[in-house]
Amino acid sequence: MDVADLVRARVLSRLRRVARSPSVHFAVLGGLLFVADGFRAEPGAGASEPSRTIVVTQTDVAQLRRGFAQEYGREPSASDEQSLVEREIDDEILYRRALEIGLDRENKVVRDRLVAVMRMLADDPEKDAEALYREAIALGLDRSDVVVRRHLVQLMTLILRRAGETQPIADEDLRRELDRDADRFRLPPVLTLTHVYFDPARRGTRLEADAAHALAEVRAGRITPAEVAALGDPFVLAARFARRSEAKLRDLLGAGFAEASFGAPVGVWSGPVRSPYGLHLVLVEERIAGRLPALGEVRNQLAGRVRRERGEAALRAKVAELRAGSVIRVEPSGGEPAAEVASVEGVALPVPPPVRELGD
Amino acid sequence: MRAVVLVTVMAVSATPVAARDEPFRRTEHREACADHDALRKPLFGDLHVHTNYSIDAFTFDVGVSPDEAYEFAKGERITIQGTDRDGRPRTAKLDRPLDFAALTDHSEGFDAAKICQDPGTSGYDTPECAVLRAPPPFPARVKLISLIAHVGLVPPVPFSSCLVPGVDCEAAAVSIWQDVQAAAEQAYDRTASCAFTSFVAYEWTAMPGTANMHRNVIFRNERVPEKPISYLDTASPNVLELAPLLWSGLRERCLERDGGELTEDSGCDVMTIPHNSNLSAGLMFPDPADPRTAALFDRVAEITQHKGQSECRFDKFFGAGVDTTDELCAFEQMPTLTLLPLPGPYVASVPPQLFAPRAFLRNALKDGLRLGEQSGVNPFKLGFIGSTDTHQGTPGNTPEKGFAGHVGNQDDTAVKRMSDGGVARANSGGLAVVWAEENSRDAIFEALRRRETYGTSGTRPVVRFFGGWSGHGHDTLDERLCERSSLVQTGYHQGVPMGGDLRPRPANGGAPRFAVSAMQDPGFTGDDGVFHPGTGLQRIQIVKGWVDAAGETHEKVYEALAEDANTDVADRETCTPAAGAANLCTVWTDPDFDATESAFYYARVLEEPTCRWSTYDCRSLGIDPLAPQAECLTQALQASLGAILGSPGSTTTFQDCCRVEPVVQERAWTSPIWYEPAS
Repeated sequence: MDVADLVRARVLSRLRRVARSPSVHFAVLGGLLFVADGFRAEPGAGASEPSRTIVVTQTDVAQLRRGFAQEYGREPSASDEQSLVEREIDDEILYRRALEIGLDRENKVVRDRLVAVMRMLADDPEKDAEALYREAIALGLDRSDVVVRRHLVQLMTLILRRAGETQPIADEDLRRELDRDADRFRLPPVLTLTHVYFDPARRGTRLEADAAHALAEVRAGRITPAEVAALGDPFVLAARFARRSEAKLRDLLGAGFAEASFGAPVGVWSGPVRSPYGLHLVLVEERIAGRLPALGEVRNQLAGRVRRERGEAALRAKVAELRAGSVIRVEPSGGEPAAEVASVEGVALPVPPPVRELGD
Repeated sequence: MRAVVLVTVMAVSATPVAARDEPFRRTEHREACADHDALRKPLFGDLHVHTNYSIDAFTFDVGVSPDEAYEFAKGERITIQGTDRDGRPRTAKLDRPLDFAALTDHSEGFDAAKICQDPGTSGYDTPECAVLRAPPPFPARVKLISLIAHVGLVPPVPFSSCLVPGVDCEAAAVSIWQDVQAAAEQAYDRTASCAFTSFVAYEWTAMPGTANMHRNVIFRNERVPEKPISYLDTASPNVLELAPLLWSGLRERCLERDGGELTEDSGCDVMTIPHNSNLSAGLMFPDPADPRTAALFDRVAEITQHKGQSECRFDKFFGAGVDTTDELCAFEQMPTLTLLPLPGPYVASVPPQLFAPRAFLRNALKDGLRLGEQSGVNPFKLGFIGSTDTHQGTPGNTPEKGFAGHVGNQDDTAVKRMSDGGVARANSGGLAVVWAEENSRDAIFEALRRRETYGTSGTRPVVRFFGGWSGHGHDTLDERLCERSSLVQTGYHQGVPMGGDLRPRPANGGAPRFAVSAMQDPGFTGDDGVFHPGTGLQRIQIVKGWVDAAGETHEKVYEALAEDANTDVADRETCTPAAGAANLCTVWTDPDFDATESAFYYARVLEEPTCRWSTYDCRSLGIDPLAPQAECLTQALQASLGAILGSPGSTTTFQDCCRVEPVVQERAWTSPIWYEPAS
């Protein structure tokens, strides 16, 4: 993972966190209703034909570099710069799309921002908010303010993701997710065992002999399991462990004990098995093989993963589609003419300098 | 003979239901755990963890999200803040996963943490957010001071970004709180495997004038208030009112929800866990106006965490303690009275006489006995847990060797850790251990409520503690309990576990008797297949606090069982500790018991001395804290010259390498068992 990946991972993880927030979803749903309303009330309003050409100039790149240096305290590397440019192109595409569908209309954040900006600019600071808002729109502030732009980019991202997230999830989808990452969900094999402990500090040199004697007696049936327990020493943990995985046994009694117990036959006393505390006789009562959980057992976790994955996929697909319909030029440094970036199926095919696709 | 056995059996079987606590109540929908254990098992956890949702952690460039922090608790490797020596992003992984964890991000600044990290909000560009986001070399101290300028003032001031038009701080805070709940739900194992338990939680960060009154608020299940009750919601110029305001808010919005009825479908339950009374200037435990409410919410306290232990204080330099002469209190102490950040590398500790006695739990517990006799309710009936307070998003990451820091870009390298007096004195954090029937929210919550818990300074010894009575007959604790293979079962039958109240004194009049059984940390096998043994046990002590007829409080530390009295590692070169005991068990009867005096008793179990994290760090810098003082200081001087040549302007002296304790005795503190005279 290079630094560019790290930067990207960080940005994505921040976005993902925002996207998962249900309240944001409510806000977005509310926003969508407004948008639909807006379209009905004023057909065509705000939906001016957007330009399909995106040019990233050297001035833009210099700005991106400055922003990076401010956030990370160092100059961006070549690959950092490429990620920054890619991200900037995506943002611009999302921003234009947001304006195209009128997301800026009747939007509280945009409105408050524009009113605040206008109040600073206005000759009469006491002016009514509605008037200030209308003035700002007339001046085209909604199309040039950086805060409005960032907000709209984010809103657009959430809406696109939401489109994927809200599709109904069927049991087959959950099943596919479970199979896809089976190792992560697989329940480990578990054992139920009873053990009898022999304490080296109490028994000294008799330790092995005492344990062997008790084992021989119980195996021969000369004493009962209850009686063999009485031959052992007190132990702070349980005398019987029900359905423990090897990892859980290991954390309590060490790897040697866990391994030996999982290797022991079922239904017979075996041992002595060594732990950090001394020797143990072990009776494995039951062994349950590892298995994939039933859907019902992990439904919440699976559904969460499917939703997230679908949201990301929907976002990626739409951004790719929008990119494919755009002409994108990045001005190279050193005054050469801007290179055109062709897009096929959403994968940017870089004409030098190479441009990397974002969001993998 | 047969008749005698029969009588004993009947006597035993007549008590068990009364003797043992009721099985816990299920208040949520989930499967019962397959590994349910009626005699309870130790579950290891961390109830104090910060992620990038905490405004201070985010300021320290910590990017670990709640989801990632839970993954870490479950044993996954995650990427953390900072780079390693080769410039690669640092990663971290637990040697052993935790059984449970609560993420306790600061509710104050939920809004700012959201707004300043989220470019889509109109508060993102405020000067305040710009300062909080500013990367090095911007001085972190300035950021800290800007945070303290909000929550450290009396009364506290909301973040100025919230005053910008269009910034909806309420919505931002609620959205983070919903994320916190979603992350907890995603991490919680509701299947019968019961692999991991999460809790919905937050930290209430009251700190008037930087005096720490912080409490972690832990909810029992997924039903929680719509918004956390933060210090800003409970602000008051009267510092004695702060915690009561939190409690009344929690009572109204949680305990009394759904008519106060707690079922699988309804009702909310909550507790508050105070931490760092050591930095509270005594404000953590004032005489409460309503002792019943204090005792209802504060059930356990963090006795240790990365900002020092709060059991007791003894300063070797001054040769004195805070209402104690117990020299083993000189363990992982912070030098200051409050949270105020330290200027510069080395600062001498504040003298013991300036500390308020109740800055330390042992003293608060003693005063609780006295207040209990006066008002009828002991307001400070606190059990003990440990936790980390990591601000790195790494719950339970407590090993001394390879300590990776807890506060993001403040302590991510050995040089930084040994350049700041506060950080060098901070420790790698503790663990919370509960004795519960199963690994589920209800089982753990009830264990915390009945205080059947102990705290460790980061290692994993297993400790049982039962209290009963000496003498003969069925209502006494077997003097030879340590020899009984049914120790645990008998302990529950004849006594009460840690956190409980001694049963009424039998008519034949014995003294309180306690059984402590401790096993050493079993160690672990690393990813590389190498076995890392746990440290052996050195001794078991019983700490008794009591109040006499004149209302004076007293304490005494009894050596109940000792394997040896080492104060150093066995091999200084390799930091190998002495072998110690794998298993210690003792039955101890109070030799000084006076039936008219209220008392509490807890067990302190000490491991053999081991090297402190700072010793490994200093050695990596070419300084040996175990060398004689003069030699160590010479090495420190050489290292600091090297640092100045490497980065001009460096003011690091590394003298702390020669001043902090080079070896520590990791330990466990059980919750106390209380005795109240019959009235």
